[in-house]
Amino acid sequence: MKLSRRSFIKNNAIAATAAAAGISLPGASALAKHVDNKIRWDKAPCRFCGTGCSVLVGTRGGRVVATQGDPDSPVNRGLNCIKGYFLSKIMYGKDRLTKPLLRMSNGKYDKQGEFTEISWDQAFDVMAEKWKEALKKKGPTSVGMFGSGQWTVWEGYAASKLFKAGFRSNNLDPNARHCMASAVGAFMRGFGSDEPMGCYDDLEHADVFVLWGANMAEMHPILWSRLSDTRLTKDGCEVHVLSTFKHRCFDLADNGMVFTPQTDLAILNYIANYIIQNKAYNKDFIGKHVNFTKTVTDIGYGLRPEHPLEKKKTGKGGKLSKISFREYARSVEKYTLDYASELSGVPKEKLLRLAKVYADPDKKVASYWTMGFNQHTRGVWVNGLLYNVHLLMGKISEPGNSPFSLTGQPSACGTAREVGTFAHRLPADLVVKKKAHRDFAEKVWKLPQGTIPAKPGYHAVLQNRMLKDGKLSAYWVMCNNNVQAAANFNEETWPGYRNPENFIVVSDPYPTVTAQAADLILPTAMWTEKEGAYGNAERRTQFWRQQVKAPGESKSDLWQLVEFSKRFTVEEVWPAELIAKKPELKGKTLYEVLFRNGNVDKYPAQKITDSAGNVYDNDEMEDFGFYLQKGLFEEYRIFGTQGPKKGHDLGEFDSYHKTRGQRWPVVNGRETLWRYREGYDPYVKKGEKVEFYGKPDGKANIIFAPYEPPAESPDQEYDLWLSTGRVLEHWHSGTMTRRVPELYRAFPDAVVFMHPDDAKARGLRRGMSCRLSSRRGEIKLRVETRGRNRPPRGLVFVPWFDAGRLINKVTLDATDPLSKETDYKKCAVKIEKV
Amino acid sequence: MNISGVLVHARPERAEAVKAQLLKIPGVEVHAVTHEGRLVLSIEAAHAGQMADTMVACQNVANVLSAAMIYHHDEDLDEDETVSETINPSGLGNKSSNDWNVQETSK
Repeated sequence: MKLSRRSFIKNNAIAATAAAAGISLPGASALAKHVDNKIRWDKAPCRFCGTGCSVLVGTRGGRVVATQGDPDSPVNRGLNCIKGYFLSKIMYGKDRLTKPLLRMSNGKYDKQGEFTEISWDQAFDVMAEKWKEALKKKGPTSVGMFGSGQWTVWEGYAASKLFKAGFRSNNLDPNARHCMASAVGAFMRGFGSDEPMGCYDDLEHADVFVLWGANMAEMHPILWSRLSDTRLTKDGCEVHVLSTFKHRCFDLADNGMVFTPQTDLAILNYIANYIIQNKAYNKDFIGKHVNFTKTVTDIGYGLRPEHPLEKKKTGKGGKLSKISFREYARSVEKYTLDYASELSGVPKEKLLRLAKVYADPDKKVASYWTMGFNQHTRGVWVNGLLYNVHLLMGKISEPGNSPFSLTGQPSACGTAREVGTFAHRLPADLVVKKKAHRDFAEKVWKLPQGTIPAKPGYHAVLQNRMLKDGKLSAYWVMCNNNVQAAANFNEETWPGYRNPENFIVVSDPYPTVTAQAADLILPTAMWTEKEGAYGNAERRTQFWRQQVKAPGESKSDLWQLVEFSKRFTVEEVWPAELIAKKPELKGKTLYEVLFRNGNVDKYPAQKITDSAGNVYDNDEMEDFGFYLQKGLFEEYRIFGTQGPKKGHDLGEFDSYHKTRGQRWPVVNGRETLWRYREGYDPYVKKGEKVEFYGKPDGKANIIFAPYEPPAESPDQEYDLWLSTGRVLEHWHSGTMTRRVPELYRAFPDAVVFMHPDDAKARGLRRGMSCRLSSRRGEIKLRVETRGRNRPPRGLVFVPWFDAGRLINKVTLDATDPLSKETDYKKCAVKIEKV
Repeated sequence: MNISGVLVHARPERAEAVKAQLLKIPGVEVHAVTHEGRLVLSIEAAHAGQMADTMVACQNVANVLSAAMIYHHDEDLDEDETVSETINPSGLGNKSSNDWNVQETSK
């Protein structure tokens, strides 16, 4: 039977949707055996948030024309959100960059010049010259890179090798610093090992869901539909939502709570106090698996040292000291229901209802959070306070009982955290500070002992400050939009990028705000224009094959990093003493030392095919002559399988092309769903039941931390709280989503969401233009008093995707002193009619 | 040609009311409503811009808890083009090749 292609496609759409709904429609399935041979289908993880949905990508004539939520993916089960839906379009924006662009006047590089097209050779020439100049004049700490949680695993790994070993600079930090660093800090302090113990399966196992500073309905829509499904189909299931303003998740909430910014610290201590007062805690669990500690307090706000708030602080750092259970109980005693309710503004009955579900031993509770907890001047503390509640009850590391840190980027876990592209980290939870860890990395990389510097490099916020101060002078920004993303644009970011001392390189597919602030722009391949791997929030590593060619002369980040390494000999970057330790490296280029070391170039070029015989490109393999991605991954894997920190094993390279991803640790080909629990995690010793083996004694830390006020609160002049964040249709800084005209139409320009009474008090109405200002800067935007975000009086919310209305001119670069992550959720502003 | 399949979640008791609202949006068809409050939609639009507007409109219907996109096709189509029936197609053409062993998830 012949069928028109149009009816066929429509039928496919209906059949796929019905299948995702768990039903079959007779008419649709009858036609489903028709096949469209003109389209090649393959799988790839979505390129946007940290959920890690698998998408089927349909390619025709070298172009992606169709996408479908992957029905066989355990993550999204055939679903796709609006952002994923437009994946096929992000690669085809009209303003894709296709040639390197250098600021030039009269045929020469000039920081004040106009962007001019040049060849890759010319680009790397000027770049290498600037790098060598900085290394010679100011040493290795004057070169650095700002990377990404959107890098593929091997891109992050290659960057780490090139900077930490090649250039001997730890000034490598990812944009994940802005979103995940507090979560990492709390995992390391509490459990001695990064990343969640649970997984997405908890979305079906839990009886109660609690959202702490996460707007899952808009930011993680697919996880939200799984959660909604459980709420609507499981008897007695409840949803509790906490936020500083009402958002879409409140539509499903059984207990919605709007609290005053920063008072989450007090609410969590109240819940711990409630559990103790009612003797609800799990005595056996805390006796066997938990240590009680407290952290240093009054630690400042991570501002420049001369800031008055930093001069005032009395404590420093995150040292933990052991305390007894009784001391812990006394520490939380003052957080009574009355006190927590008064401080937070949440009615007592709501807080009590929340405390009761945590304290009920028969209710399985899954807690979720994202930026509300992490972008917090006490981010590490507040993450830890939630673990305290779960640990007191033993509600952890088992199906349904799950404190779960969600991620914002597709590979914040896989690349930024697991590869360790932070200024203080190495792969698989190793850190540069520890000699044993550096020794291990140098051994794997076949480098002389002492190559990797021991001192942590500049973290994200410090990088901008050091650019401004002229201490960081050769700087490469890759796969992110940090000029838009970093806080305090006027006082730090812009002066840093335009400092005449500095040479700034930006690799991007599009002319972002950051690219426009650069001196050299490198056109970059994205998503399925290259072979890749991402790691999502539940420890799942997923691979994809290259589906299409990148436009013009665009090259992948991986190609750029490896190709650039050819421009340096070891003599140009390393001291003679270091080379003398391994004389066979004499005269070699960094390319030969780092990427032709017998590991990375171990796998010869091959034809990439799937089981149906379809053939795929691998442009890097073609250029370098060996299977670069496989060699990098297999070398990287050694850190997990043989490294000093156990429980980080990844599977073999080839196994990931055959699965919808695997959750690490992957031991003997089996993934791990719940860590630290016997029967699920192969690393837990027999008979232990639970073992937090990231810590030497196998015990997790309950860490007391008090409520402390935020860096800046509203006062007489700046009388409103400002919180920034995201909207469903745009992802982060909007670099890609704003290229999709349809998404732009859906939510064209940033607005300020505010309470109608706050608007009225300032002579404003919905749709009117206003000036929003802080002590640092101002922007103009339109007032929105209706719609999906409904702030209480005294707080306004502005999404940050809009490059034309840079909210970070207004924000404060106060950070968590422990995680160095910026608090984008709290500062004081005023709003006036213009 | 722009065609998509969309799955909408609503509270079960409000699913029929949601369906009535969705049907008022041009290009939207509702093919099934389940007891659990799941609605199976298709959307046809003349161009991608209209598709996006329609999707956002669906999402903003009162009592819609979530709207997930399942399938999307955007291609200039030759209206005379046909596809033929194939029995037991091999490989990725049918999007569920055998070499992607999905690991067992929890029970």
